[in-house]
Amino acid sequence: MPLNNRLKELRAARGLNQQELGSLVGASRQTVSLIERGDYNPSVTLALRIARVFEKPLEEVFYLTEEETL
Amino acid sequence: MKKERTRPWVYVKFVLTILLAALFGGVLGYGAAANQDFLPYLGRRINGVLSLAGLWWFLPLYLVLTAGTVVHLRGRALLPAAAEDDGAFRRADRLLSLAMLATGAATPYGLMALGLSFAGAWERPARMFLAAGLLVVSMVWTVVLQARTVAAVKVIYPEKRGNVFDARFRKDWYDSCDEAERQEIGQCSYRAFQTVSGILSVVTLALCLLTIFQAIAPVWVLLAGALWLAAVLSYQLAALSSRP
Repeated sequence: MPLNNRLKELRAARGLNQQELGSLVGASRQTVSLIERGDYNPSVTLALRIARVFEKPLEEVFYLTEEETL
Repeated sequence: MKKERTRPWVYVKFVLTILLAALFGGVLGYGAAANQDFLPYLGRRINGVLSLAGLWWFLPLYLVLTAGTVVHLRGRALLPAAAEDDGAFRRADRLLSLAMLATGAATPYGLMALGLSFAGAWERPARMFLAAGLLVVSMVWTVVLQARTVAAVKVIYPEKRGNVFDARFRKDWYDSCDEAERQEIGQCSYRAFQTVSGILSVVTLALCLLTIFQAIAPVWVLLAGALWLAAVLSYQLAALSSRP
């Protein structure tokens, strides 16, 4: 099930590039790029680490679209 | 939870496959039994044809290494732009992966080329020395290309660890991979396991039949069977040990 996210927008607002965000959360630039494009669903641990960097609740960074929400 | 649907066609297909395999084995076995003298002759002829190519067996190896070097250089040329440009990053990543593919194929093929070019060359020592020399040059080329490609990959993936000259290289590299990369490695390993198991099962069966009808020495079926067993057991034991 595709997971949507606001990663690109939040990263730009913070002035971080993919490499810098990757270093902060322990992921590669390629993985950050895959998550942003929706080609990879991160684990709960990685998603929480990303949300912590942006100081946002998890649901504000990652969300399911209406029709996919149970 | 949804109940799994049973598809009767699966059982029919399974029985048909077994029957076809048995029929194929029977025909092959009969053919081998009826041509006991022909099979060793065929083996000698094939060996003769293989040894005819001689040192030309090294040509594909050097073509692959040349292609690997070209894509490596093209990938490296993109590195300065890759820091800022996402497209350049992806292209550099792909080109460097292709260079790694070339170096990965070079070592097993190089050893194969050495063996094949040595076939029937005992009366021609010059050919043997040349073949050994070509292998050494290709191995040096492979290691240098591998080391330089790994160094280039580290530019776009600075978190990566490992030295190709260190025996722990694969472990260090794996340890520096994140969860997405480890998942990718797992998927690639599974595909490799499926491919190798599929090939070895067919090869072992064919060699088994040829051994039964004394067309080849039993050592060949032992070799293929042992490789198949090693592939299956290493996979299953790794799966078992990962369970709590």
